[in-house]
Amino acid sequence: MSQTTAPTPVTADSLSEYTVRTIGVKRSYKMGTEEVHALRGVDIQINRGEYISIMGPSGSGKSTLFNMIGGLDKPSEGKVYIDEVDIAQLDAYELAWMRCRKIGYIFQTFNLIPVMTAIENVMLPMIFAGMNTADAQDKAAEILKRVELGHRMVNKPSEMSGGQQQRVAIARAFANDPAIILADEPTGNLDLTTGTLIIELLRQLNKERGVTIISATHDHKMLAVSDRIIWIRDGQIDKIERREDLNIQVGTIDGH
Amino acid sequence: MTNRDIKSKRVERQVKLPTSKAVEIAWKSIRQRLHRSLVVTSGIILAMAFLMYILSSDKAIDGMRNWMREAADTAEIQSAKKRVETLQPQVLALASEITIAAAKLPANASDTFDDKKSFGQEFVEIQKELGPLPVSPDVMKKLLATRAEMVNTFTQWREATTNLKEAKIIMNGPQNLVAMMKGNGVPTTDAEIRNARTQTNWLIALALLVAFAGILNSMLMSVTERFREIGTMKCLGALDSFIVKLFLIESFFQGGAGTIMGILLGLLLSMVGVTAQYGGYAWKMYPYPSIAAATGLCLVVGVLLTVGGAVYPAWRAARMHPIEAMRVET
Ligand SMILES: Nc1ncnc2c1ncn2[C@@H]1O[C@H](COP(=O)(O)OP(=O)(O)O)[C@@H](O)[C@H]1O
Ligand SMILES: [Mg+2]
Repeated sequence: MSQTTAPTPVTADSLSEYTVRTIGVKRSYKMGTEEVHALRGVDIQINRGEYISIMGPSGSGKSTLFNMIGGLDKPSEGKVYIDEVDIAQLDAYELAWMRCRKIGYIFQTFNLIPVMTAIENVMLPMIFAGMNTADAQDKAAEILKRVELGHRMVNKPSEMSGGQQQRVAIARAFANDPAIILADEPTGNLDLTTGTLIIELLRQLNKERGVTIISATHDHKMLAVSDRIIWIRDGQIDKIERREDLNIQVGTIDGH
Repeated sequence: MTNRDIKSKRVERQVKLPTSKAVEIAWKSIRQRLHRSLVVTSGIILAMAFLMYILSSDKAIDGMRNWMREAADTAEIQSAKKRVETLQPQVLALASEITIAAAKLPANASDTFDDKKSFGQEFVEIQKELGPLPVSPDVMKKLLATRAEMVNTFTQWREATTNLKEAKIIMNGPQNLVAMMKGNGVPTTDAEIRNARTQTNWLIALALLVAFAGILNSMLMSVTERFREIGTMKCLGALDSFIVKLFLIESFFQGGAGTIMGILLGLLLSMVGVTAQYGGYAWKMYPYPSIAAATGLCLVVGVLLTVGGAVYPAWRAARMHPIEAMRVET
């Protein structure tokens, strides 16, 4: 399980253990007397080092699935395993540890802490992990340089463009060397060019660090870099495609 | 391998951060949004200013009542009384001297005099200040123009009258103050004061209630506007206890600053208020020790109320679901 070589080839060993696995995950919301079925039973297996896109129209349940995988919400039915650990079994401290060390989150709205500078934002998860300030500072600076923000380290989010803010958010997600990066519509608030750069950056980091990236999106630019695409419709998996199979279809998708 | 085994191998428990970290982050947050903090704090400032104003005005009036009660025995009043007693006959004697001299004046006496002591327009000023002259200004002018020694007598009368007036004001101070207080509807007798005490206590209770509501509202606002931030922190691994600490510490800083500003504002307003109403009497026996005690009380009450008022909002913030961070407003 080397963390530095990318993307981990699917061997018998890695097949037997998935980074993320869901079994029959259902989630429904009560809206007054009516029940909204956001997820109607989803089974997915994701290998270490994979770059996965969860695609589907708005309201299809992508964010709901993202929340389930990220341990941010509990399924009404079914199970979610992270590194073969049933997250329903975790107590508050273990969940917090997992969110801090195992998973990095990237949001559509960047969600930087507005009163903190770029470097302070990146340091925050390290501080939560118990790292001392000096080490956290060095490490945060290094990651910020990696996302080409070495010159913006002491700027506040309000002094940065959307693309720069999202790069800080990416640096923050990578702060504690997580095994999984979860991104919900990471390019949703960005223009075409900036979005492309962000997608490329995520792909590079995925290859460099062997981190598993799962991105909920309806941005078709993601198709080109994803190892697999999980298409969701109405809270159910419509189809799962590998990139190799996709190449033939790219023309038609772009043709929309 | 059972799930328990795997779990114990792969998942650890999140560390509890030392409070100093929470202090550091809370302090940063306050400093960075000073402007915003001030808006939130203004609720606390106003509430504490109200409380301090009520308390310190009440104490200041107490001080004046004490002065009224004790003033009769003070050296100041005693010596004023003595001066009145000696000045009164002096003034009368000088006035009668002038009246007698005036009666002797010939009808055709000149009223122009060439020396430097020109009492012309000045009589009007003197009358304004000291009341009517012993004789009419016209007669006085003639007297001063024709009888040189009268200049001296008049000067003496003027001096004695001025001193008498001043001594009388000091001597009658307590009565004047009672009149002023009555005019302002402030109770002066013991029975009245006892009745009013209940009223003041109600006012203080009201001030406390206002303070608590203001603080609770401020803290709830501060939590509500930071839903996303709190959710994000939880996604980054913040424990509930850390969020609670963060808000309690933040409110402690904010409450402390707001309380101090509120106390200063309230104290200043009450000082200006009593001075405007009672002039120098307010400061005759200004009760510094009880004002200091009131300040201490307000400080304790303010900080307790702020931290107390933040408990519920902090608990709500900590309980918040991390998915709030993801919600995109449409
Ligand atoms: N908190 C919620 N309460 C009620 N309904 C919800 C809630 N969150 C999501 N839904 C519903 O679940 C469905 C899936 O939503 P979501 O996962 O956000 O879709 P997507 O991210 O693909 O746009 C939608 O119909 C949405 O209205
Ligand atoms: Mg969504």
